[in-house]
Amino acid sequence: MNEPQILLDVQGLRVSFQTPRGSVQAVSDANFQVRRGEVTGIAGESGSGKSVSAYAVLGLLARNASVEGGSAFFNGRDLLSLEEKELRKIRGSEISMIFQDPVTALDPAFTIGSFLAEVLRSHEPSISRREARRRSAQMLAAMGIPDPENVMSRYPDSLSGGMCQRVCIAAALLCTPKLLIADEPTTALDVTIQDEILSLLQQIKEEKDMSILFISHDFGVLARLCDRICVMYGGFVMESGSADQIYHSAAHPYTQALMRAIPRLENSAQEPLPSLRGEPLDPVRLPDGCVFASCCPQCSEECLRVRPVSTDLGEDHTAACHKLIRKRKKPLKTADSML
Amino acid sequence: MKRKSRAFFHNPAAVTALLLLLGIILFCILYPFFTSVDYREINFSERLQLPSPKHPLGTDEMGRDMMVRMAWGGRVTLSVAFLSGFIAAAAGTGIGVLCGYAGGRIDSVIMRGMDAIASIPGLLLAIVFDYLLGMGRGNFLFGVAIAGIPPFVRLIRGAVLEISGSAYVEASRALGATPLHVVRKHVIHNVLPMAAIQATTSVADALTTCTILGYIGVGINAPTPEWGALFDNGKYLLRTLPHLSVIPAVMIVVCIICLYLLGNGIRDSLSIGGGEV
Repeated sequence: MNEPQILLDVQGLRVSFQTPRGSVQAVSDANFQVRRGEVTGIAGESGSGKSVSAYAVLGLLARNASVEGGSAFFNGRDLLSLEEKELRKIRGSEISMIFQDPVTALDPAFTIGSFLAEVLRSHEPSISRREARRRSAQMLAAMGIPDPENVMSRYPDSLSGGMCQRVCIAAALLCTPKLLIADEPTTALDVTIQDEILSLLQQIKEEKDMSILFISHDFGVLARLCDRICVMYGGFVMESGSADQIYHSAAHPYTQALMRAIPRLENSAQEPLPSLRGEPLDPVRLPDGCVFASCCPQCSEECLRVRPVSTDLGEDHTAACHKLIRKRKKPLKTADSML
Repeated sequence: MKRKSRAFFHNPAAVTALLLLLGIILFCILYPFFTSVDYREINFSERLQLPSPKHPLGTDEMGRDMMVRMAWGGRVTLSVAFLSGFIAAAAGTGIGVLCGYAGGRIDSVIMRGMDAIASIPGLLLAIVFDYLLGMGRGNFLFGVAIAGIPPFVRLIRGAVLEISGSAYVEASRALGATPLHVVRKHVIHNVLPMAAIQATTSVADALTTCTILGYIGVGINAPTPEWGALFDNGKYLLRTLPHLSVIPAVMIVVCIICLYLLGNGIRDSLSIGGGEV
C-alpha cells in the first residue's frame, strides 16, 4: 500500500498577537500535517494555539494578529504567502471550515436556502437559481436532514443546534473541498447530538475521501475520529503521532498527564482525577526553557534553561521533551521523518 | 421577513399608529384638491368663525379657512420632518457602516466630527442653516438633518462592529465571502431594521424641531402655514377660541406619538427572531 500523501503541510508556523500588554506569541514553530483521506486532530487547552493555527492557515486571523514565519503548503502552494484574493478562492472551495457554535455561525437575517445559495454563488457566479437550490437540497439531504425543502425556507433560529451544525457542514461541503477544518464543531452541542455529528463527519470522510483537521480539547471526541493527533501547549507542539501512539504510548509528560486526567469508568468515583501543580502559562512572557516546565512533574534544571526541540521517537511519533532527547540523543529540528 | 411583517401587523398599537399617520398624510396631500378655498384667501367678513359646514375647523383672525391651512401646514411640517429624517437616516446609515467596517483612522476622524456636530444644539444648527441658505424657504431642514446624523452614526457603527465581529461573518469569510459580500449581505441586512427604528425617532425629532422653529417664527415665511406657526397664531385666542391652537398642537403630538409607536412596533416584531418563536 502506498504511503498516504500529505495534503496540508504546516512547518514552523509562528503567529503573534499585539495586545496592550505586549506581544503574545500564540503559536511558536508549530509543525503538523494533514494527509489525504485522513483526520488529523489538534488537541490542547484554551490558549494553546490550536485554533489560531487553523485560522492562520486560512488567513482568517484577527486584525491584531500576524503570521511571523513558517509555511503551510497545500497542493503545492504556500497558503501563508498567498494574496488575500487567491486565498479567498481557496476558502470554501478547496478548504472549508466549520465552527464551534453552529447557531451563531448562521446569519439570522437569511433563510437556510438563501445562505447556501450565496455560498455556491460566491464560488460559481454563473450558477442558476434553480441549480443552486437543487444542489443545496441535495447536500442537506446528504447531511441527514429530513425534508430539506422545508428547512431551506426556514430561518436559523427555528432550527436546533444539531440541525444548524448539519447546515454548516452542508455549506462547507457544497463546493467539494479537499480539506475540512473543524474548530471544536461539537463543543456547543449536547452529547447525543455530538455523537451524531461525529458519525456524520466519519461518514463524510469515508464517502468523499476527504481530509479533516479536527481541533478539540476533548480526547474522547478526538479518539473517535482521528488517525493522527498533535498535542499543543502554550503555542508549541508537544507531541504528535498516530492516535494509537498518543493514547497508548504517550511519551511527553504533558500528554501523559492529559491521558491520566480522562475520567474512566473503571476508576472508582471517590478517587479524584490527577491534576497538575504549578501555574498556567503567561502568554506575554514565555519562559526561556520548556513552556510546560512550570507544571511538569518531571522537570529538570535543563528544562528551565533550554527549550527542547522535537525528537523523533520512530514510526512518525515525535515529542519535544529533554527527557526523551536525553534518551534518544537524536534531536530533530523539523518533523521531516513524517513525510 | 414574512414572519416579521406578520408580527408587526398583529400589533394593534403599531397598526393604529401606521394607519393614523397615513391618514394624516393623505389628508394633508389630498384635502387642498377637494376644496375650492385657498389657504391664503383673506376674508374679513368671515373672521374668527366657529366650525361650520363651510369651514369645518372655523376660520382665523383674517378669515382664512383653518381646515385648508391645517392641510397645507401639514404638507410643510411633515415634508420637512420626513425629508430631514430620511436624509439623516441615509447619511447616518452610510457613514455608520463606513466607520464600523473600515475602522482605524477613518473611523476615529469621522467619529470626532460626529462628536463636534452633536455638541451643537439641533435647533441652533437649523437656524444657522436657515440663515446661510436663504431664509424662510425651508432650508433649515438641512440643519435638522445634520443634527440628526450623529445619533444615527453611533447606533449603526456600534451595530456594524458587533456584526463584523460576529460568528456568522467569520463563518462566511471562511467559506470564501468577499468583504463586499459581507457588507452587502450580512451588515446591511442586519443593520437596516435597526436603521428603520432609528429613522422613526429622527423623523419625530425633526418634526419637533420644525414646529418649534415655526412657533418662534423662523424657517417658513408667512403666509405659508406650518403647524408650529398655526399654534403660535392661535395661542392669543386660547380662552375664547381654543380650537385654533389646540388642533395644531394635537396634530403635532399625535404625529410624534404615532412615529414612536411605529418604531416600537418595528422593534417588537424584529425581536421575535431573537430566539423562541
